[in-house]
Amino acid sequence: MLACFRSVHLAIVLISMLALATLAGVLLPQEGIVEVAQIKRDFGANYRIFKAMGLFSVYSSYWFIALEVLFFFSLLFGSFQWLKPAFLAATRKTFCGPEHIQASPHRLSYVSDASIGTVTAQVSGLLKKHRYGLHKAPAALQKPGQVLFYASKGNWSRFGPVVAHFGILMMLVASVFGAFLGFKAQKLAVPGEVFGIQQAEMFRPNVDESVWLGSVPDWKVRVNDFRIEYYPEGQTPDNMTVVKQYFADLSVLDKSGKETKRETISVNHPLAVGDTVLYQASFNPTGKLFMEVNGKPMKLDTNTTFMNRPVSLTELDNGRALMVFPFFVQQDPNVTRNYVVVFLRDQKGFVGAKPGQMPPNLRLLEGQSGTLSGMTFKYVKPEIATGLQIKKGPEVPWMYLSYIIIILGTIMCIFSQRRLWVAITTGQDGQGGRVMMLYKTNKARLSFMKELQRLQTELLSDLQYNVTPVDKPKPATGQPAPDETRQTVTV
Amino acid sequence: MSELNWYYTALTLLAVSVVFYLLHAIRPKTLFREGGWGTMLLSCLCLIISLVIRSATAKYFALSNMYESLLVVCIGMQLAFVVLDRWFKLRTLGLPVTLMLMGSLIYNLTLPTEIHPLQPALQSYWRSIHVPIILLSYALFAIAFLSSLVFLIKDFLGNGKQDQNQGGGQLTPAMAGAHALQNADAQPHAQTNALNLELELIQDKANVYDEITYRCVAFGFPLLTLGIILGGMWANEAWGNYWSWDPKESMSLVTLLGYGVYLHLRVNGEHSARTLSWVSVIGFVLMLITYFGVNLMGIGLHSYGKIG
Repeated sequence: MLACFRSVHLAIVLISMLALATLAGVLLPQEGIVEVAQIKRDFGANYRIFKAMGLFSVYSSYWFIALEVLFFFSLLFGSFQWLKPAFLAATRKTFCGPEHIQASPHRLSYVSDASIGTVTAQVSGLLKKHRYGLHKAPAALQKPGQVLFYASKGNWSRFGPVVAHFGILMMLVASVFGAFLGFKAQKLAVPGEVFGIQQAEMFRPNVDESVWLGSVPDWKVRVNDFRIEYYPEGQTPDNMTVVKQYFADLSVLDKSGKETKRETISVNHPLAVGDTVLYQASFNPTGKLFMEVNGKPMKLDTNTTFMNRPVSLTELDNGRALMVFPFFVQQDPNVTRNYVVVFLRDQKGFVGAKPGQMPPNLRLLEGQSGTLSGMTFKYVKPEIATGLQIKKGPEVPWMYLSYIIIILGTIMCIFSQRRLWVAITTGQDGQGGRVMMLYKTNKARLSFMKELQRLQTELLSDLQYNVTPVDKPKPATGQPAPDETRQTVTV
Repeated sequence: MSELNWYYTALTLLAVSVVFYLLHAIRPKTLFREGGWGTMLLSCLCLIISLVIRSATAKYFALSNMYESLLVVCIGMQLAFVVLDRWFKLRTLGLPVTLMLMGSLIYNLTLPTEIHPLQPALQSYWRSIHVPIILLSYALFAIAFLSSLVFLIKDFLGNGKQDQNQGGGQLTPAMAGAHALQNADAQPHAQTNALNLELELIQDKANVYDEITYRCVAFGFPLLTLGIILGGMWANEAWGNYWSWDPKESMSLVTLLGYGVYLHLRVNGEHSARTLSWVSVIGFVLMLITYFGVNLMGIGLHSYGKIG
């Protein structure tokens, strides 16, 4: 069973299945994003079959969660399986004798007139210059007239996959941790309103309440102000008024009602209170309007409808009635700035109305004043509730740590481990030195060979070596390179 | 010069680069390759200047709509390719890369180019980090795709015939080494040896394109991972949600998983370069759906990137 989870084949199958399942969630309409009635209309008789298969709620379906669990275990056991070989490949120092190097097609061979000591110093100096770590074989492993050493670099890159896998595991564990201890809530609040987190509409723990282990903060929030800032006119290609930012001035109150913190939040700039964070997420006009009539402040309510449109109808002291049609940004089509249209009514109907004509009216943008039938009106602003998203996420620091580990692991994976086994022997006549190198890398073969080419050029040009004719290779074409761990002396 | 004038200059230089690389593909000469490389580099510089002028006009890093993002992808592709070409001195890849760039830059001119003020959600330093990283990964995947295509075409035409007979289309180091040694025997006194021959042999064959695909994916994968993670951190800061299963997010995960399959197949070592090239092609198709497909839908949290 464990062997099955350790299999790279299973990992590949699971990754592919997760990709396909996620793709299904993108291509098929998902409940919560598309209305159920719409899905039913589109899929007709097939709706029930697709629904039963969980294809309209892929990411919360049992089979998708089961896939994630399988993926978790595959990662867990697979990572453990890679840990030992990665550790050995990164840390074990092996040495190859000339016979073994001779048998490999991946070898370089040179002879020099200089003594074996000089050649050893020159070769090791060159490898150090190329940032290779050198390890000389213990004297007991070397025959007389022979120097063996092992050179490597990028050993740490071997741990890349394990580190990345560990980061993913940590991320998955942190998200489960967050599910059992965290919550989300949403609240629409008007300026002046004070509310506790549990009073928030749509307060919901991340898991079913019966198994939830978290707690709700006892502090309260007061919304001091909410405002919308617009880009100055003329800054858009089509001269539309565009929202620049939403600001909510919030105070945090302790149990006694004392203010402990005050900040103005906006989109991308939330307010953190411990591990609970308040986000500026949305806004919603309440339907109430602040106006001034003949200089007298009034708060109007949209209390009726006219031709299926909500309107505010308010009796005035002079026997007339004020009728106000409000229009809101992002609620009414093609409205880019809040405004109202004001009419005056009396017992005969609209004041100043003429048959077949639009009754006299006043269109006022936010902050604008005007006169209608001898009365002055100012549209101060609409009452707008700020939409706050509240989240408690005790897992956040762990989540961020896991992100750093994943990034570190994947970056480590880019690099390769490059290894050289060097054997320097005295020449056959006891004069000069012969250098033999066996080279190997786990990836980036071309780059490695180019580096070896540079290394070789330096050897040949700077050190005045002679190039030897290379012997005919012993292994047949296509035969894999000898495994140095089996045939060499290991320390 | 205006932003668009620099853009057109870049396009013209790129057309010259296409000609150079076409000549180089037909008749390899250092002059042609160097000409293609140089004009490509100049074209890239012109595009960067165009983007800088646009950013100065907009008063923010101009990376908020499809036109600007495709411009950054093209710059990323050019930068990645000039490095690759300098390093590997490729014969065949220059032509498809320049052609794809030409197509992309011409298509980009059909997209809306107006500069709009940033909406509240986009006013964050995260935008200048998350988006370019993702786009750079896309640029690398595009080159990986073209490299895979070149490999598959060469493989199909029999350019790598010798390799296929002995290793399923993949030239193993042992084969290359042995072959090189045999050649070295024939010229015992030449100032070359097994290494040079092994290197030449690999570079001449389709396998160099398999290697380039791998290197591009190996660099693109961490970039995409980083980009997705940074996007999650941004979403957490903006909305209090790392992940919302928004179509763009989900598709980028599918793309990441697709390339994850590629890397695991590679590590597994049981599959031929041909299979891996096909997986790279599939990965690129997934990337295209993520980049263009989801934007065409114009839904979800990333709808500001919608086309048209």
